[in-house]
Amino acid sequence: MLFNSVSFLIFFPVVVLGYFVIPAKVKNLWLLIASYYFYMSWQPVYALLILFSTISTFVCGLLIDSARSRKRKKLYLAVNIIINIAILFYFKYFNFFVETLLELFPSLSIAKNNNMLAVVGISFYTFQSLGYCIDVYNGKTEKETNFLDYALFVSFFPQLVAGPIERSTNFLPQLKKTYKFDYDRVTDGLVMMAWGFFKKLAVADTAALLVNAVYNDVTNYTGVQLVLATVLFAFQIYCDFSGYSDIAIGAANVLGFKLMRNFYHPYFAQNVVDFWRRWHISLSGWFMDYIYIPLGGSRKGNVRTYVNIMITFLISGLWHGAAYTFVVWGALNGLYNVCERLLFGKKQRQIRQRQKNGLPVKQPPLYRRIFNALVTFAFIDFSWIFFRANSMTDAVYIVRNLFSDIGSLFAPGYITSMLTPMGFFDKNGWAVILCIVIMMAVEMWEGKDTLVQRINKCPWPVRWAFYYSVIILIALFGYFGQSQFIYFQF
Amino acid sequence: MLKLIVKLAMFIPLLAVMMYVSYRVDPSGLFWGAGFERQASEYMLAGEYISGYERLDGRALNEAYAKNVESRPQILINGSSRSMLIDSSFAEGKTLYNAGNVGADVYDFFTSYYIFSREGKEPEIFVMGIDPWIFNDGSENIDKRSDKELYFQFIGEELGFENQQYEKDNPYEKYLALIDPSYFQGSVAYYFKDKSAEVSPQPVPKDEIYNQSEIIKCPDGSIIYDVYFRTRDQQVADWDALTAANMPLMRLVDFEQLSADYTRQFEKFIEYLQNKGISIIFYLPPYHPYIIEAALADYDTYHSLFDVELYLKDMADKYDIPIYGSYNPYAVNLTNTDFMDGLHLRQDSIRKILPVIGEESNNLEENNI
Repeated sequence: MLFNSVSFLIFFPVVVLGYFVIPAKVKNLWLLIASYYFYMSWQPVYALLILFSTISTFVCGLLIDSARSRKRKKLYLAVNIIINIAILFYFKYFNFFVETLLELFPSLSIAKNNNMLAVVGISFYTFQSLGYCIDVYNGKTEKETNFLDYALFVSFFPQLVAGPIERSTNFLPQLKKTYKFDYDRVTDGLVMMAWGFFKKLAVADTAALLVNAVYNDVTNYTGVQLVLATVLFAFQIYCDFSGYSDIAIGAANVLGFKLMRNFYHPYFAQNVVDFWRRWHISLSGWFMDYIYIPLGGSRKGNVRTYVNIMITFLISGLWHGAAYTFVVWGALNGLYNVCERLLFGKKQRQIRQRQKNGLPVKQPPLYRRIFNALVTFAFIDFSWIFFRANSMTDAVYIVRNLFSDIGSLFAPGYITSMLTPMGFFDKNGWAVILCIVIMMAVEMWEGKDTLVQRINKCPWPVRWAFYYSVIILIALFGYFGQSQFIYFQF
Repeated sequence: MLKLIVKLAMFIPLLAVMMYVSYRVDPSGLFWGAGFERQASEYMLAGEYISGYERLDGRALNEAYAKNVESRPQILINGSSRSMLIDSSFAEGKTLYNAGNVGADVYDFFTSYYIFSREGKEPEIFVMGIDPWIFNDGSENIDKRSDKELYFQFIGEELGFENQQYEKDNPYEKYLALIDPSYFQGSVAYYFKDKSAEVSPQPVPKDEIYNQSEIIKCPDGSIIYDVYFRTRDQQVADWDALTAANMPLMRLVDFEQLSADYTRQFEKFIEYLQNKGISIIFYLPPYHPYIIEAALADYDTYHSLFDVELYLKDMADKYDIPIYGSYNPYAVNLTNTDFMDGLHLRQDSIRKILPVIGEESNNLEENNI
């Protein structure tokens, strides 16, 4: 069931209403049933996978907790990780693995499983439940003894298929509380959801019409067309994913749960390291805590730090998809991070140290911040080419032809003649750009607050003007063809 | 909870405005009929003659007219352009609407009636302008502009023919468009669209309607051909007819026999109309003498043309229906000069074979075949 579907428009109010009228002791059961129904609306049989993942990690948590020796705890954890990663590998990476093997050894008699359907959100719930086991192993969280609560932690429908990847330390304690209807909380949640729908429908999905036209047929496009499609894709993926997160956070908030913030104005980032602190925060944090730090983090010298960064980003690339393009995307971002540390690491560490010590840090002037943000955006957007391209061949073609028409750029009518064939004027291109500008302006206006906090500080006419504007913008410019969220595939 | 409901209710005006915009602009013509056709129908309802008919969708125009006309036309006419010269002068004292269509096929034959009946505007008298090809079931005889779905709906839902390619319409489904954001977007886009480049139908002053260089659509649905076509030299008209006669006759080739399906539907249609108390008149628009001679000369190919006429005569007898005209011009005492080309009779010549409707029993009984 998609958030942007009529089914969800019916499902969500029913779940919310039911949740607030039923007795407290069955509220979590109600949410669990709703969550499984939500998930089974894609492919009912794959609910067995999530059930298996839930049972195995739940039992693992109990075993780790009850084990007396560290060695035994480690064994339980290792077995559980292997089982869950094996399932993830089979359903997500098996075909990619077979393809790679066949490329290397064409004589091998091994075949792909072409009947396998993509399992929606498998990477998300696998990582979330594995994170719980690792937390129990590290003593960061208590074992969960209530299976229903644990099952709800793994399958909670707002964040089940595309995050945020919640931490057991944040979410499990919330499941022990009972939430009653609270007007302010519910309206805050609805505002977040509306803003998420704006990002998804008015920016991501309408931008996708133009991006797909170019990226699905790259050799028919060149120069400015490829640049525009790549820039638009940066906003498409941001609004698609952060839109989903906003809807998830808002929906959870309506029910009373607080999910972690997943994005913090990533395109205002001043450098690539800063970008990764603002982008998909729950996943970046997961990789930091469960991959980068266990590998040694930055504690074992510079070279080892750079290697750890590269490993983490390569795994992050593979996490996003089973294709070489994602591996290159991960490698590029790893490389950006390493280069940045090499060039500016000392200065950045000094700034962080001053911030840690509560000392004032001199902000660069506005023009410098804008310049930094633009340069960072350019690097990140360049890496998005590999993330979005349908194949390495396409990606290489795009890179080679990005600036092929730079000499003609200022010729009269050239830009228009380039934009027309990609459907810019037919597919609401101007509306997409307008909505992107509005979204970025709102993010600037938010400052360090969340959107809801910022709006709640405003007088009621401003608040209502905002609500009305969001709805009108969605109604005028939204795409209502029910497109999937990009991150469902991960 | 009540507070939340009250606050949510504050969005109702916004929703109402969006619904109103969708309803009034109605880019797909769900509520008012299609754009220019709706505009044309409004002119017609205001008694105007309009230009630009050939650029309009005649079917959509009839639908818009049927939706928007306040009271039913007492006389309704269907048929192809061969019947579209029958105008209000054939209906003294009664309202008439000619729902014929250029290139009308068997689907149009049924749907021309249905678009009025489904609006609750059934006529007292239904004049069937019957072209022979409506009984020819070859797929090439179907006009791409006709409404196949509506035809299947009519014969399935109204005439009771089962297993038709038709799914019953939900009459309320169109109202879902009012809460469909895509329809709202379409409405806004259509409202602001630059329509200056599009040629819209324009009213033509009444004293100039016979001087136009294009077909004029009359407020009663009939048409007036352009001045050149009507006034050209008879030799040119005959030359046209001769050319047409030397080519495969329009929609009459591969016409081995009358379609069993279409004849069953035709008979059921007659019974259906008579059960509703609607009087029926058959009008068979004649062909130019050159055409009929060509058909007679190649009787093996074109025998069904004559079979249709015999069949219709049988039906007229069986159901006690007056029948006027004949595909054979000689049978109704017409000559070359009565025709503007191979297929189209002059309006004055139609008067020779079709009486003023409602007074049929008087003066033209002899032309009744």
